[in-house]
Amino acid sequence: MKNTQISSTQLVFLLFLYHSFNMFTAETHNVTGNYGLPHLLAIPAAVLMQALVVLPAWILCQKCRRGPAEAALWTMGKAGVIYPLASSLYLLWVMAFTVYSMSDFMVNAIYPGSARLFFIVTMILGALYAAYLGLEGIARAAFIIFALFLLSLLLTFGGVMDRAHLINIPPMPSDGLALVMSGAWKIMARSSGIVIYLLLLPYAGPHKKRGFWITLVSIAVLMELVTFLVSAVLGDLGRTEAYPFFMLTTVAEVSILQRMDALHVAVWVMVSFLRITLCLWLVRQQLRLCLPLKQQAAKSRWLLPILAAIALLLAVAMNENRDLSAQTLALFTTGAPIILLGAVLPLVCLIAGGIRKRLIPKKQEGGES
Amino acid sequence: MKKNAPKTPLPSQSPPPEPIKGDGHLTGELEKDLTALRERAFNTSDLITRPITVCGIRMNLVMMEGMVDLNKLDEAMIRPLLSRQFPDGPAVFDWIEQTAVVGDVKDVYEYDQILSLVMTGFLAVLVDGVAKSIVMGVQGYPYRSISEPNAEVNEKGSRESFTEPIKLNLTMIRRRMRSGAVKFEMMETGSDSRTLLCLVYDPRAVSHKLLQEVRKRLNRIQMKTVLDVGYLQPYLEGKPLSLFSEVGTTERPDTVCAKVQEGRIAILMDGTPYALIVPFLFVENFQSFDDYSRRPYFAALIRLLKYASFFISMLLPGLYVAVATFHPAVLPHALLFNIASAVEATPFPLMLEALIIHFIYEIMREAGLRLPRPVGHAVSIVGALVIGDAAVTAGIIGAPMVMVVALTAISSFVVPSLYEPVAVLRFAFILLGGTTGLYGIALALAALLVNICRTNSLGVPYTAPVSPFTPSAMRDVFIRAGWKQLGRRVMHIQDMRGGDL
Repeated sequence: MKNTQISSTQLVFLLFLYHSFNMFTAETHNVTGNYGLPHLLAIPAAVLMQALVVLPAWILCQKCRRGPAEAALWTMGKAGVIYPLASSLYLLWVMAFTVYSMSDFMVNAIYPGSARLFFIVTMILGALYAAYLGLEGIARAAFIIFALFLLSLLLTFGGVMDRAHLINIPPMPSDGLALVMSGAWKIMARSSGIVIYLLLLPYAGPHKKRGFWITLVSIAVLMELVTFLVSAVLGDLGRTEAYPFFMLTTVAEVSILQRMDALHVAVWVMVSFLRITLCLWLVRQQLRLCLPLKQQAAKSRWLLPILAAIALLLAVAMNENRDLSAQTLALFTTGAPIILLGAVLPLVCLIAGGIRKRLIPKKQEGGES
Repeated sequence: MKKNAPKTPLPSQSPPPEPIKGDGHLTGELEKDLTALRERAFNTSDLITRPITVCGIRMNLVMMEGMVDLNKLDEAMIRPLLSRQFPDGPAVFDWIEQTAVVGDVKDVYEYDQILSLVMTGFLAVLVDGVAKSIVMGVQGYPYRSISEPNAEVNEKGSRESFTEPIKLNLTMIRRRMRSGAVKFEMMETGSDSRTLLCLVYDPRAVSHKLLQEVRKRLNRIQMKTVLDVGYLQPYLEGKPLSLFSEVGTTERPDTVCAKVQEGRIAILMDGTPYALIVPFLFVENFQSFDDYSRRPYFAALIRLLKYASFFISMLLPGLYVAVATFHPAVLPHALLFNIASAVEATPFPLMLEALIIHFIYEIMREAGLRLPRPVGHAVSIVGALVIGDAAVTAGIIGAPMVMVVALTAISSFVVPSLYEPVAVLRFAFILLGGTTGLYGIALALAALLVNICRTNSLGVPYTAPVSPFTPSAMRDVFIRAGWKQLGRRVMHIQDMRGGDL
């Protein structure tokens, strides 16, 4: 009695939490270069960009009635293996970077002076266990973690609302439109969640398109709220702080709870755990597609520990060599991986699929004659 | 102890239409059949074969010592039998079969079947020249009478709980469901013990897939002896590594009736005063029969208290240790100073303090549980004095920690069905909180959450109806809706989202 399908509602919660990790680290200023009004305007523009980027992949999935990796294999034959390989590599990198970012946050903000390796190892071990349990458990747990997440957000927002002053929000500069567009591009470029969405398509139930839009809009609303509060409450402090949202939680005060940061940390750990687990599970599923059908069950058993070990090594490497993490961030911010997986490869597949469609009838006609 | 034992129902096995003579079947030669029966019972000393002669026809009564009600036997069969005239053996046999005033009467052709029934308190009558036997239910062994439930005590409603003989338990269910909406399906398990099992379900409500699966899993049991329903539990559970059980237990017949109505299956076993219920959901741990006899607003309040108690009993000590050790800034200053002064005055680190005091508490709880009640109370008093007063006065443990333990201990009794996993997890969270702070607790909680969410109880998500979310079922989860709403439509277990039934 095993069920690997998830509903579109579960898909929304998974994607929402996945996306919200970026908001927690909330490097609003140092990623986009924007702060205040330009950033607030960049968020809705980023939603549209994400939808545009994902369009070719969406069309491919609709035409082939399967996920993008399966569609690539179907349309391009053995050459289609490039899609699962590329997506696996990207997600593995995202996973390692997430673990690195989390350990960085822990050591800098919560446990000063402690060993980063401890956080990296424990987080990956936890994710390995959860990924082993499968998508069903991850998707169901996402709903409960979402409830906790919402509670912590409400408490934080409630705790800082009275300190928000509109005067703190920086106005639109003279080159505002260019800033908005470049900010939107950067937000889109870091939204690895859209790749996750594409890869989860074969496992999700009906109403996937609606789920995608709900996720994008809700995450945009949340980002707007967070950005607004960070700017309006912290003012210029938000521009210089490494973790402005965390800073916000430390000043939030609700009744006997003098600070909300402890609750925020707990939820943040859960969200990052979920994100890493989802990446690990999806990478395994993608690599399974590259294996011959008969060997999938036997060989994929060892894939999870191997992938976890690779992610661990990558995270440790990023930790040891700060240039690597900076380069990773720079690469992600260009948007190249998202464009490749969301648009370029699906377009190639669509063209290959069209050619194949034309060739097959010709061959059939030839065969008949 | 009552003496008139309830009759154990006959397993639903139809006899062969024609007796087949040979190995394992009655021959009609009385001496030969008796010898064969004794041999098959390894000449056990409690197998009684009582010869009687009626009108010159030799007969034999076969029974187990102390398991037959002799007065009933005398009234129902012996006296009327001795006052009549019979021409031959088959006539005696036919008369007994048609006129014996007992519940279960059946023709049996095989030695093993005779022995199996005789060992459950039936009487077998062998007549010379007849190659079959009559077995009749005249049980009369001692058993515990119906008493109040021990673990599921309630304020209102019925005070009856299950007892050991299965027939009595089935009667208690039948008395509550008189429309035929409940079906009893008898089975046997254990090659040596041949323990009687009964599946109780509503044939209109139960999913056939679920029924097949339960039958399949029960038939998979290969044990020689099955003495308790706990033996069956692992066979009904899907994942052995899960801390939380996917099989519910109840000692209340009214609970069984309510669950069966929702499409669940109850499993009763002869000799066990508990019933197993499958599929079982996590939220059912927080429901009790009293919830449904109270006013909805109060029932809802109690429900929420139970959820709060569950989290307090599992997480409070760990959170206290984590916050006081790693995140003291979260606490209000006044409270922080009190905790800090208490910690300063004690020799152990907070984590060790919590572990020691919980360890002592578990020892005392176990001792109080196993000892006779008067002594158990003494243990509790000594424990309360030692922990609550002496340890604090001696400066071994801080006063805030005593409060935390007391609150945890009391909370753990609010949801008794979750005591076992909660006790283990509490120690784990103390260790994690003391070594890694909130990070460790949050990470472990997330992994535990995925573990629980991954669990399926016979095709139904264990965390349903919360996740996957089933809005229509939420009327009886965190709150309890009124009967007008609950009674409008019965929510069947197969209606839960994410299920595979």
